[in-house]
Amino acid sequence: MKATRNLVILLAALGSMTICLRGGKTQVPPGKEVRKEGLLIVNRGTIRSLGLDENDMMALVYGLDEIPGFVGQYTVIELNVGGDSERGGLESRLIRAWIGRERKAYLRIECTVCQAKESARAWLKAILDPRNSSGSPMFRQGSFSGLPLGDECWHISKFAIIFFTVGRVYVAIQASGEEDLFAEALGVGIEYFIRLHPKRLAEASKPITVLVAHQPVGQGKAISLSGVTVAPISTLEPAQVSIKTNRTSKEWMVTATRNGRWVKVRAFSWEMETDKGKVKLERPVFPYKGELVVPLRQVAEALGMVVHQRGQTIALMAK
Amino acid sequence: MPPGLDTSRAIPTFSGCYKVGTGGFSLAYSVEDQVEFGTLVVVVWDEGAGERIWQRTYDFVPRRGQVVLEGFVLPSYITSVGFQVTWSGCGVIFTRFNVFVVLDAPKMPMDPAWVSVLRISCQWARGESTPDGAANTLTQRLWDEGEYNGGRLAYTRYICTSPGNRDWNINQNNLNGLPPGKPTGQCNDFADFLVCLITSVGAFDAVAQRTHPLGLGWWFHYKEIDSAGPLPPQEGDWNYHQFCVYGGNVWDGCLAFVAGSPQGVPKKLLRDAVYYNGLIAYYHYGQWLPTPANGFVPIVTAQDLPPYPPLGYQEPACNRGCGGGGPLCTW
Repeated sequence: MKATRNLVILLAALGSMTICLRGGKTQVPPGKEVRKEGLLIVNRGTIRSLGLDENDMMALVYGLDEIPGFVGQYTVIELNVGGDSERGGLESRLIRAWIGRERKAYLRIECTVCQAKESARAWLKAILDPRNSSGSPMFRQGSFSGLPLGDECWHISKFAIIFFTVGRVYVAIQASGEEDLFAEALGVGIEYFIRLHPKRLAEASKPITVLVAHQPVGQGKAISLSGVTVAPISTLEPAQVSIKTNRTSKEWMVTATRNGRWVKVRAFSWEMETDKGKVKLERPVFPYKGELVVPLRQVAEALGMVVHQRGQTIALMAK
Repeated sequence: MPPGLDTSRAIPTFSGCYKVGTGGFSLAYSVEDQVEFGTLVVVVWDEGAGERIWQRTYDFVPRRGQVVLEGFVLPSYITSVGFQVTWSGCGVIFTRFNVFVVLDAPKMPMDPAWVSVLRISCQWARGESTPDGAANTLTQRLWDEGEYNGGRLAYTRYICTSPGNRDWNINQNNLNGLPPGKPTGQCNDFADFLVCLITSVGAFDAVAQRTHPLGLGWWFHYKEIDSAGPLPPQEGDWNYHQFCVYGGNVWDGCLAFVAGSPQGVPKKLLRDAVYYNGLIAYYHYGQWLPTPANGFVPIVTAQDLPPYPPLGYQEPACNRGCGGGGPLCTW
């Protein structure tokens, strides 16, 4: 037994890991892996790379603490799978899982970034192949709600599973123990993340300009998700809307008030409370970089504003 | 090097695999120190229980040598045993390592067994001392801990090695201790993983099998079952189902029967009578024809999951005539 040698090797390995993870921004070199507290990052791109790093991948999903009622469990990021050979497919994957704080529930989100849109569709096609997926008789095309989600979407009823493509990203969401529409709400947010992603993972939506008192607000963050404009709720602040956030481990709620009118929205909810009662939303509410994204027109109107849209410009005006 | 069964009595400092109840071990050691003699303390504990099971102090021993672990006998049940060896000389240094205690030599496809699988199997089956007991416990724990993914392609890739054969590629990232690391996948993944678990502890030559040949358009309605994970029991349709077999009996950690008899997770159920009756409501098309007849040993590899081809999903040529003897067809 070479105790001294073993000890030295152990200390050296721990030292290199500390260096890699310092500052929270990791840059895992090709052919290496980093592991720490539920995070595993592997970079297989010794020959080829998709040009995405781990931070690019993490921008595709919710943070570990961004889903109320759930605790982040682990994250696996595999960069440049196939990048250790000169030919063949090349993709980067992220898997992130959460468990319910109180209820027996489990969330798992997988995002696979491919080289091209066709490759993401190939994933979908492979999964729909009955020889690959035993459960394919239970797969149904479209989303649970019937609303468009991504470029092509499928779901499994009762299982709260939804999978879809957006550009060159394949996404699969499993929300066991939750409502089907909760899984879909998670998916709507991820489509937003992908469409706003700086590495152009999907065809960019035509930019929407939101005007308050003739001044543009919330630039770059208002986009159309299949015809419905969504934007961070803070976009409304210049229109004399005050925003109050109540964020706990169980709930993420924002109350917006304006001239005696009020609206309450909750993360991943498909409805909002207003001073005039509950209103069903055209798109669910979801978090993005610390705030909630909402269907802009519905929330603005509930706060007493008039919404005029012409082309890619939306003007919010007082009644 | 992943461990096979080590029949020597020289405890290595890497994760070895040893048969239950063996004894007569020795420990070779070498310490780089400035003094020639010191004290060596060897402590052994059962990692599952956290209990110390053996300890010995060797005074005034040379800094290189071999000590006999007198009276030390491995437990008579599956577990993982930890060692801590401490040298006190000019300074004090120590090292820790563990070995796995299994029923017998690991079998294919876990021959040699993967340490990442043994970590799970020896923890889950800890305390079991018989092949059936180990297989039953591993099956139950897989169902308890696992998460059925609705029947979507997960860690399987098509490799034609024999008629109807299909590879499962273990994704090491799911096994290497991500806390707490739920095994996730469809029936293929559960069945093949269970084969790995059972064979890793040397229980018996478990293999995988499906309800019927693929690619013929056969499908069936399954009875109300409780799939692994928090979903409520339900019935539905499957193109096929994959399970673990040995000697005409089925172990299936993917589901539990909720009606009829027996209820619960299928463990050593007669395949064509009890298991069939518990699972199959009726065939929409086709028939119960477990395939391949003798089951198959899943191919496991440390390679990561291969990505799909960049320009669209290609139907593998072997899908049309997956026969033995031909080249491997993969994508």
